[in-house]
Amino acid sequence: MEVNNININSEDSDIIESFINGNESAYNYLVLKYQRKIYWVIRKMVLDHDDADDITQEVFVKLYKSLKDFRGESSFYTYLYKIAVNYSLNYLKKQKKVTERTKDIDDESYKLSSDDALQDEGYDEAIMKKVLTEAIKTLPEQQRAVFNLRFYDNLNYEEISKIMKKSVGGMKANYFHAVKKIEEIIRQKRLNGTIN
Amino acid sequence: MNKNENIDELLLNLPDFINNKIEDKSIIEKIKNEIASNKDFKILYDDMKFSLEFMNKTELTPPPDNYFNNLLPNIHQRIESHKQKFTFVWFGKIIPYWKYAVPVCVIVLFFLIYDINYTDNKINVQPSPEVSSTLEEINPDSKIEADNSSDSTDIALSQIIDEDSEQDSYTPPQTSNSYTSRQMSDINHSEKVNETAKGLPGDLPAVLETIGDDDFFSNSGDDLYQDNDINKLTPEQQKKVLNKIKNAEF
Repeated sequence: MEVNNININSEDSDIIESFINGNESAYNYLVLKYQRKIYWVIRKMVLDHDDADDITQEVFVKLYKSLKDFRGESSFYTYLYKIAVNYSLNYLKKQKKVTERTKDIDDESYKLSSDDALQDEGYDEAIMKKVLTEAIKTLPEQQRAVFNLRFYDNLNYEEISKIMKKSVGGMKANYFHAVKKIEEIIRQKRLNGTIN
Repeated sequence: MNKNENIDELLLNLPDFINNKIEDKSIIEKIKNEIASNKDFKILYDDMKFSLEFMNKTELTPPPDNYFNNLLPNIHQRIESHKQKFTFVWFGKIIPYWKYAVPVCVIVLFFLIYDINYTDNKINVQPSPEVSSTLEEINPDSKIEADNSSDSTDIALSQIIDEDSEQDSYTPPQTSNSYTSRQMSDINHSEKVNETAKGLPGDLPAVLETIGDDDFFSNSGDDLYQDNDINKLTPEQQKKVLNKIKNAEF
């Protein structure tokens, strides 16, 4: 039977069709196929592993619920990627509100977790990660999303504008300002001697 | 396009130029020329290049080793919990309205109970047969009908008030026919008691006190009938009636 012929290397459309035809295990192939990519898309947006784990699970739960409605208008990965980016952006928006309320507590816990990281890994590497995380955290959620989509995921501006539902020019400007902000923070750290 | 606009356009393309993500060769050439000729542009290019290279070589800490092996079971677990939650979705949707629904229900319940009690009171305001027969015996015109509807009560009340005003020049605060028996009795009750007492023989106020307000005026709607009728009687007749009332079982 065709339902039983699919595997993790099958075409996405075949796996989805199999799922729609009642083969629940076809869903597992989609998860196994894309879990790493989706996790890293989310992780680079939200930075924290636990948050990334939570959002990744939610994204795949959403996929399970909505897979039968997938019409194939875009590629499956783009569809899944959009869900991941939207969930991450929503998380960042919520997080922004929480952070504004609990800024002092957040700074303290961040300091502690950074100190732990320094003990666990090489000093320079830990410092670099800390600086990077700090720099990305300063970005507003939209700039952060655009930066990740362009810098890490190599999406072109047309694709980014479709995901973000904004103009291509606006996305280009967002990306430039994000890079500029990160550059300013890193320059400061270089001047301080925190990094070489 | 003037020079400033041109530089702005080149600046927006600078990060992509550093990461070799520009395909348009003319833009690449323009940026190279700007770096060579514009000192500020060159400084920005160097700083940005350093930062992007720093980010390229700096990676986030990877997740725990077994993380991706456990992810699928965790997702299925979450799907199951979502399915269970879905059962109670309708319940969850109602919850926000409870804070409005509960007070409304309490108010509605209060009025229902109040209305039932009020209706009961109206039904129970029948004088005892003994009192009725005595009153009829003494004055046949004052026959009390069994009908306890608010309209007949109101009419009877307004008659009483009219008679009062003729006899004693008593002017109630308000004499509208639209008043209910309860309202009218509340308004007139205390004044009526005093006036009734004044019209009776010397020892009658004492007798009234002995009987007690609670016993004598317990049925507010009927008090006015009794007061009015008593006023029409001679002191001896009043005494006789009161004795009968006193001995009667309410």
